[in-house]
Amino acid sequence: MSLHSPKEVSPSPRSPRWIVLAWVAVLSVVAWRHVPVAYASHSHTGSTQLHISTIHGNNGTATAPGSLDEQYCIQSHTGSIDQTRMANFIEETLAKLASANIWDGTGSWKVDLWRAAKPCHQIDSATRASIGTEYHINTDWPNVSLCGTYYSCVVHDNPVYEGGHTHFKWMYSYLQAEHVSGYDTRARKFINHETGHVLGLKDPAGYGTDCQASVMHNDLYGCPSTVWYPTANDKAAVTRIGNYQNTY
Amino acid sequence: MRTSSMKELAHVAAMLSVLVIGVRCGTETEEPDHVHFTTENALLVSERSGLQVCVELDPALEGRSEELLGALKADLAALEQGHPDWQKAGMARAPVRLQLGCPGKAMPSERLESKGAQVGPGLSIRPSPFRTFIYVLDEAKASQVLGEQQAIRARAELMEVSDHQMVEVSTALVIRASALGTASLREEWLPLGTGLKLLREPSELVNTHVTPKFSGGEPAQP
Repeated sequence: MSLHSPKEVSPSPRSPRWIVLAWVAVLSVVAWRHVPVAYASHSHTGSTQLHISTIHGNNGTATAPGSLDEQYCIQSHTGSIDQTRMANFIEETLAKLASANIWDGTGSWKVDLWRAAKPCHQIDSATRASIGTEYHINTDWPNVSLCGTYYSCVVHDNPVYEGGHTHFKWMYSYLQAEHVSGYDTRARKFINHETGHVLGLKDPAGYGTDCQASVMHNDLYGCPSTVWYPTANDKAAVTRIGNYQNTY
Repeated sequence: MRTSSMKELAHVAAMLSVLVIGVRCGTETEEPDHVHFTTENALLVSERSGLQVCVELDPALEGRSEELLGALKADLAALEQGHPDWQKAGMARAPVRLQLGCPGKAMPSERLESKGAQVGPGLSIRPSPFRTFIYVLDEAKASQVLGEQQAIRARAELMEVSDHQMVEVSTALVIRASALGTASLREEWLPLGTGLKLLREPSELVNTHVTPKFSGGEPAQP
């Protein structure tokens, strides 16, 4: 071992402090420019929850709907689905089963679902304009983008800015006949899921992700749950939307 | 000392290069390859900075384009002045812009339903900056397309918000030329076409022809 005097040791050349600081500043600026902006929001939170405009109020009675209740009409576009049977089945799913398993009554009756007595296409245009949600059933939806031959889908239509956010006066649920023709719990699963969208709920971010007790996050989306009805979790989320707690 | 200065100069040059390249690349990646839907205002697309309106005139009205566009500008100015939600709804972020010619250039020619009609581009990955598409028809075409009505609203552009959900982000107003400058255009149709509350609400209509309801075995509660 030998000792070296300080002069003999050649210290590693060190940059002046200002250069180090300047590099940190430069790299920070570049990094800031590249950080992605987060626009996505989680399934039950955020401001992009598209919902029917009537969800914030309730002015009907026990026997008659008001303008802030949720009216819907139903129309089968295929001979393979009987209009009356399907209309009765959808109404039963939404409003006539045990109260724990239906959307009707959610949020202290802010969700108050009333079925128009006639199929959608038999209602005069002025009255039809007052009906918020339409359920249409067909074996194929070639003219409805995204729906096509595989998906049941929802279109949010007629936006209006009220109460600090935009919501929608008209909703259309286009159901594939194959999804609902069994008149069983699978059919109810689709109807309740699409209705969840009408009321403001979102899908999971990805297949098999964000699994929870919810008709929006069940086995249709790769989750273990087979729940076919709106859960307490779903209803709580819709109640928050109705109470302006999830929108801006 | 000289070596040190050279090194410092090299550092400065390298820093400037990194800064220029990094910021320029950052700018490129920030060019919206897709746009973002929002419900926080009436513009519905985050990248829209203010109300932009495009107009298609029926070919039969071409000789009156200056007059008709002037009337529409006045109608939009009246809406801007008179609507209580104009600012809150995000419309005041930039001056109103009116452009002759709409994406898709689809001039409706067949009878339109008053609910669920589609006029314009439809589903779009990158919706246009136009919140409102206005199609002005001469009286002959208007009778064909609108029937007795003064105007009809329709979807112009839709945006995908999930694999099976679409949302209207641009609204089409199909109007007859004689509607320009009228109170009903300013107080009802233009608010409807821009996603604002109507300034004059029509009398409330509630369909009472509904099926009786007994939710969960109990009569429905108010």
